Amino acid sequence: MAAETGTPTTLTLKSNDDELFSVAESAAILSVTIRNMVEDGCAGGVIPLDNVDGKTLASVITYMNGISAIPADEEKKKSYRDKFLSDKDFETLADMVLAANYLNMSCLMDAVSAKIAQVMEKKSVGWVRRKFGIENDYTPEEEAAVKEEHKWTFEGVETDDDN
Amino acid sequence: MQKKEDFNINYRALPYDLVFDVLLHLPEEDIYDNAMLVCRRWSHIIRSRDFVNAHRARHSTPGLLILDYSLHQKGKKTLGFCGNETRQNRDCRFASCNGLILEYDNFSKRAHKITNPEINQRFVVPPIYPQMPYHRFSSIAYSAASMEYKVVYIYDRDEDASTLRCVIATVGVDNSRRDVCTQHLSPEAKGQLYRNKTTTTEGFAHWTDAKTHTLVLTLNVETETFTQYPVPQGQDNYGDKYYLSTGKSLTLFDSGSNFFMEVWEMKLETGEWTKMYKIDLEAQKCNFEHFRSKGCSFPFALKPVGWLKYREVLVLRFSHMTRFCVAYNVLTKEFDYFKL
Repeated sequence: MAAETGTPTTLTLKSNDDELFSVAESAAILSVTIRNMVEDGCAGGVIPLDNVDGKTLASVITYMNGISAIPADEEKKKSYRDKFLSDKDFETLADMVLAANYLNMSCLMDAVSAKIAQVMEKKSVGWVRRKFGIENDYTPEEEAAVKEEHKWTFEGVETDDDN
Repeated sequence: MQKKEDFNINYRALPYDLVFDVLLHLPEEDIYDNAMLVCRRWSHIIRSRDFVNAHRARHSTPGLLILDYSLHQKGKKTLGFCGNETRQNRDCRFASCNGLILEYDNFSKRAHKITNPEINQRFVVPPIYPQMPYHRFSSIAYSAASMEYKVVYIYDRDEDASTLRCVIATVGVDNSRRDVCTQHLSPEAKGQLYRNKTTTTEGFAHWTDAKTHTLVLTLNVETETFTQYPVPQGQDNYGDKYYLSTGKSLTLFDSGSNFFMEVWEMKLETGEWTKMYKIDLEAQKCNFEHFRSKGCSFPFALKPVGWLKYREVLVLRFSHMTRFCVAYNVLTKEFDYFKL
């Protein structure tokens, strides 16, 4: 949109730990945040991304390049996303979802959220708390009450009462 | 709140809307077995109205619940609790709200039961009295303000209309129940409450009458008040009328002929009716001929049974015995058949 000439424009992105990355504008504008900056004309020099570290940004740029190389085929894009996320650990995924949110990339965000949920499946409450860095703020009574409530909602299929 | 052991921990404390997005992808079992127990904030997210709606929209297999006395299906899954026995010997009654089914059996005077066909689980609602009175058409509705399901009991003693009462009980909270005042209702409205089955549109239960067709009696389960709303007087007083819930509003099908009907929608708060569409399948009549059964003396017609997708796809059944239904897209006017 902003590029009037036919030659591909390259943008320079800067992570919050001062790493610099070159990326094709056509791939970078998958991020609505970056696109807005480009459209507002503030992309002349280096685009500082204060909420993303270098490691995560490198990963996001790999994704941007990969996905923008795929023609408009939702199936193929989806399988690229799945493959891209398949080897990422929880910490990387957590960083990515924050970055995708900050960069306003809804497709990546949705894919990463789904992946995080997939990793969480069948894990214990303790595991989830540890990974998310959450402290249990329930009192033992409250915790028991929540369990009890759940039991109520999803009692197994009862056999018919006889009388 | 966060531990200070290392600064990395902070980034994992995802903001509210990101946790919301992640939890949205979790299956129901994990939500209730785990996520709910993680912390107060998560349980708060899970209980929020937005989350419940979004999660349901994402995880529910689209299905149609047909409440008919001879036929109970959800999607392609037949519900296990209703066999021939029910139809022939028992006075079994149903109501439904948000995909949950309220079921009760007047013959054996058993307790009311709530079934979630999605996860195939069932819950027994304790009886309101040890000696169960004669129940009319009970109803189930959802109070969004308190996030509770309410069961509305209509009952009388010894089949005497003057003993008619309406009682609301809150599901799963305690055994408290409250009487709803029915004194101000017109005799006709009381008759409707006494005789007719209900339709639920989330927080509202409606009693309608396909024959007299003059008013809709609506109970708001949050304010626990009854209101009588007039019904638009359509084209033909002799045509059949059908009322269907869309979940959030009530639609009326006013049939002018066997294959033609006008569709109206009622605003729940005001009782205002708006004419939405005309469904005219007269021209397709010949296509339907092979669903007609020869020996049947009833007029051969189409009856609406439910919205598959509101304002778009409607499911209709034939008045003659057949397992085939018609799915009709009211926008494109295309239709297709499917077999139950």
